[in-house]
Amino acid sequence: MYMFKYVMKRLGLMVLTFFIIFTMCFVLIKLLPIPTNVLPGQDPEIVMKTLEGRGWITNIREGENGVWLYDRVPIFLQYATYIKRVVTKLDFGLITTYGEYLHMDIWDVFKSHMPPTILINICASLIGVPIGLGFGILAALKKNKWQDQVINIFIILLISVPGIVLALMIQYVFCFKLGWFPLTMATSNEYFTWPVFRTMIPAVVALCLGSVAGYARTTRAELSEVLTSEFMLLARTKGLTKKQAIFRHAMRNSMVVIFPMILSEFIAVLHGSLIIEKMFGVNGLGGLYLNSITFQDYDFFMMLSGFNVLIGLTAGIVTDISYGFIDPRIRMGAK
Amino acid sequence: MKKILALVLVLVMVLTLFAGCKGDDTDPTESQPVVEDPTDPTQGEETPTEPVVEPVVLKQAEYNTTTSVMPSNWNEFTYADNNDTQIMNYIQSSFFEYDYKFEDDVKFNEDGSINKDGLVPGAYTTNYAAATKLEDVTATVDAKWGYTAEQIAEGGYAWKITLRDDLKWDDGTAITAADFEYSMEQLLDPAFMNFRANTYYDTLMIKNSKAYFFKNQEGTYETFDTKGYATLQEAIDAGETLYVDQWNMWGAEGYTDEAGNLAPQWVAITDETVYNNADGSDPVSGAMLYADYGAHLEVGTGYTAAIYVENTNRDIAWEDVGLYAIPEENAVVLCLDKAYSFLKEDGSLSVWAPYYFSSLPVVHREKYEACKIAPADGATLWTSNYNSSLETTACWGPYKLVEFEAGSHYRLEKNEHWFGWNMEEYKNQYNITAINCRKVEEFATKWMGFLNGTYDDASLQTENVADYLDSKYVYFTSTNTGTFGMQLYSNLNTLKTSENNNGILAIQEFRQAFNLALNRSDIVEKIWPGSSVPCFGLLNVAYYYDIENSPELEDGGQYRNATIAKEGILRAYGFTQGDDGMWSGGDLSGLTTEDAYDALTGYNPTLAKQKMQEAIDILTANAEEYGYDATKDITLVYGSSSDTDKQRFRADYLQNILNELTVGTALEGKIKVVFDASAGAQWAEAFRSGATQIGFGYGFSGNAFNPFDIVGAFVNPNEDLNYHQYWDTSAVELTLTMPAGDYAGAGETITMSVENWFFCLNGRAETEGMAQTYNWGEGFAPVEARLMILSALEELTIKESRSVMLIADGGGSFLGAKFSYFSEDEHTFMGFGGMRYIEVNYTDAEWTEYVAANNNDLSAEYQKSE
Repeated sequence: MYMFKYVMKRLGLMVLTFFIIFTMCFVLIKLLPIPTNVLPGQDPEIVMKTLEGRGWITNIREGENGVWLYDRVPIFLQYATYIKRVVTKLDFGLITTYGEYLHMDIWDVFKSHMPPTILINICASLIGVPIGLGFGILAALKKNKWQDQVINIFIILLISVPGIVLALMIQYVFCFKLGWFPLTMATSNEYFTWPVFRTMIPAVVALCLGSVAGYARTTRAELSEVLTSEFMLLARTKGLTKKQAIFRHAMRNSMVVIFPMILSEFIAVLHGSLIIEKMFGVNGLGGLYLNSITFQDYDFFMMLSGFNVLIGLTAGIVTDISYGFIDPRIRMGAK
Repeated sequence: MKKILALVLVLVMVLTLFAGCKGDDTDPTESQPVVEDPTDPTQGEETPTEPVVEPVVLKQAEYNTTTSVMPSNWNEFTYADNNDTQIMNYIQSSFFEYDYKFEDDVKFNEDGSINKDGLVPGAYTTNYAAATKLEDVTATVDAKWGYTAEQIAEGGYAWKITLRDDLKWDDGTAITAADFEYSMEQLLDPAFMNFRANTYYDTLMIKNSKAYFFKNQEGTYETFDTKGYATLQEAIDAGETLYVDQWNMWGAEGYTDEAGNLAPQWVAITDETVYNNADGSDPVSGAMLYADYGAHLEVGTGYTAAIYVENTNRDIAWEDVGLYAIPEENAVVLCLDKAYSFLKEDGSLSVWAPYYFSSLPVVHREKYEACKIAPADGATLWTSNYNSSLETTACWGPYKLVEFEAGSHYRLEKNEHWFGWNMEEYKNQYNITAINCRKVEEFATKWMGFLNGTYDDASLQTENVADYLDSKYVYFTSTNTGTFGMQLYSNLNTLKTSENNNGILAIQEFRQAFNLALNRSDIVEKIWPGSSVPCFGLLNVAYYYDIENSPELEDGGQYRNATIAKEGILRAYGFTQGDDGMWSGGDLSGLTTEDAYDALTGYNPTLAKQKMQEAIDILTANAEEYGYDATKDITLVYGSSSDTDKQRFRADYLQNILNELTVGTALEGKIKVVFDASAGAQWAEAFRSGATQIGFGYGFSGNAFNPFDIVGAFVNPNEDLNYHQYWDTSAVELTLTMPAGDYAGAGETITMSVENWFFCLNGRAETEGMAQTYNWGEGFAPVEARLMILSALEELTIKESRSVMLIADGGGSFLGAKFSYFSEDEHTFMGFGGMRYIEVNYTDAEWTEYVAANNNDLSAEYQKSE
């Protein structure tokens, strides 16, 4: 019951946090100056009407001198209108300034770009976690032996070389020189067919390399520590085999640190896919976020911000709750 | 043995059978649609004696390309930029088209292939495409269009275009003349205010189209000089109420008065209402702006005062607009406010027909109506999402859109309903079966894709120029009209009021010295390597004074190559011509015009030093007039749009030039170039207001066939493009002796203002209210006379050295080995032949094999120069 209460409390806090961050995002982007530039040859009236249509200004009227006047809509009023529209109509608006997607429905664009991003990130985690854990376990078990040294060199290499360089190397070697994969991801939406999935592999590998190193390093450190614990000696003296002792006791204990890390890495990877998506032509959400700020496409920026914040907060809760499942001694919310 | 013989026989028979069947197995998408000509009298007749020529079978393949930015709106009414036109170019057609010219007009060989050997270099023809007939109907249109007897005699104002009967959309729906009328009505609809309507009301000037487009507008503010007043005082004395734009001039947008009313953009110069910012620290009123900055409201100062003009044309009907269809003849009639010479005297199409008048906009009626979007809450303008997605797109060009995904890719395939397939002129062309375009933002990815055969084109960039500059797969374009250079702000009134002590910029000798101290070859090498050539004039080789006769003319009809233009440039850069006609300048002497022009570098350090000393003498002798304080440094602010290493390098480069120029003079080490990128994208406005004094890397491009008009960007103070609107060319006199001939003013020595010369040259002197109203527009004066005026205007502007041109635009791009362009030489109209003429070297299957045989790496092949 206390767990239920804890979860509910966390969810409540999550909603509150989400609302605060979301509001801050809205205010901050709205504090940027309204781009009212009238280009040579452009009619100022068209510019004014367009801004009005976007809901940034209101009450456009022709003054006594025949000039166009307007009032700026207060930010919080715009915010209220925005929230009302989203909540009551589930209408996230249209893209107004981001050239490539002009006049398109934000939700539709978001929906169409989400699958590749989610997919390459899930795949990167699915591949990265076992490999990273495997290397970490091997290194811990073979501590200070040649296997450990090789893995350590590998880890340091992956951590110290920037992800973009690794991605470029993968692209150059596997896609260009060896020709095993195409340079860019296929444009088809049939993601679960082999021809399309194959084109995703370079991006997935480029994306998971950094996390592999992270998992391996943490796993090695945690497992090494646990393996030297007294309870491990006790387990062996009780008659458990080395294998039994490692997998039933040592691994479980070290997972208290490793498992939450997997979740947070997933989030980090989601953010870090921006440049990878660009390089491998993945039609995902990465590039959209940055460009929505560049183009001051307010509604689009809010949609993407909301998504990122939501993912981050949810991951936080899941991470915390996961402690209880991994180690029954940890009871969240218990008094 | 018998068995073996029998088996061989059977095998031969089977193979023969297969060979016979092969002809029926052709993929319909791989071949040109062929339409039998029912009028062909040879059909059905036997001609046994003539040898049969096997028709050529050309290879066909798909073309794979990339784009950094995907198009989003290929609606003719509203498209924004070149990203959008990448789809438009393929899905639309033209009424008239340019084509290569072939010897004896024999375009095809006997086997149907293009007669490449018969190509006449540089020559072209103009042909009918979607139209079948063009007639000048100025004399026969209804009297309601109001053409005068003079205009009727002159002709060229009203045109009737008869369309082909087989024009269709890609869904098979017929396109008729009525669709063109409907489309124009939609384009000019005042409820939409479509962005591209100005092409038809400003450029083509369809009668009453502008009034119709703006009929919802109650009034406009027009600068007082356009109402016939020379000075502000003159307008005030005549009782006009003058207004000033306080948003632009003072940045008062968002300011409020005491009662909380927002500051209007335009305010009367007598209005004493004070508007202020939120903290009350920046009061402004119309009266204050006039009292304190009245000098900045005169013509050419950048903030010219305006007069409110009420719109009296608000009830104009569509029937009053000069475009209508004649359904029974499937023809469209256009009544224009400006005369065009779309037809030659022999009745054939002139060069201007395809240029100005390639087509009229046309939209698919049903789709367009379905795409209309009502104004959002509180807004009044309608919008449309026509031609912005696969579902909303209609095509009537050689290709149709079959796939489109925003932010990802698009695919075009041959449009089986295109009228061109029924025309002999297009036979064995368009051998590209489909165009696949993929969005790839990273250059490295794009380049690797080109090298491994995924993509068929790439651009020559800094990253690959060292290894591939001489590649036989690189095509260089030189016909871009862009000229780029440095602008020097020299409005003394503004310079004096600044704290920069830089009144020296207003001295012509100083600007000339700066100009002559610039080594353009060095600038090209250090700042724009690989993509540009030095440029000395205001206009580069892409401007033609006579494109019609270009191939026959010795100078190619190019203004830059005309002798008189070369002479003007030579004089402008300090060369002098002796009595014997030979030129000398710097260390050179006894040169012919051609030799002197070839030797010209624009770099004359000796003369530059001399001019610098003259400037210093003028400055010190008139220190007060130039607001010069000898105890202070002179600061020149270099305005840039961005703060990058490249931009800062340019500022440093100029600093070094000035340091060298002032060595040993009173100004040694005193002139400082200060970098300022604070204006960002508003750099042009910052320069025009005098906030920065040096601008770099921007110039103009325009109508390649009309150098006479684009020079207005330098000498017409009312021209939007002009960076030096403060330069009052109406007060600068120029005297020229007109060549003899049969035209107004022939043989006379005439003195008038530079502005007046410009308007006379363009036939606009009368409408602009100039003192001298000669009409020396195209066709009204011999080309020699027009070239002389243009050259004189250019020479004068270069000598003024406010606009210092440095480089001409150009660039290189790769076409992969899968294809070859039709022509190695760039053609003014046809480029290298484009998609229409491109030759396929490898089919898709052959290309895959070829790339595999090269281990997926074609870099060695692409580095070959032969």
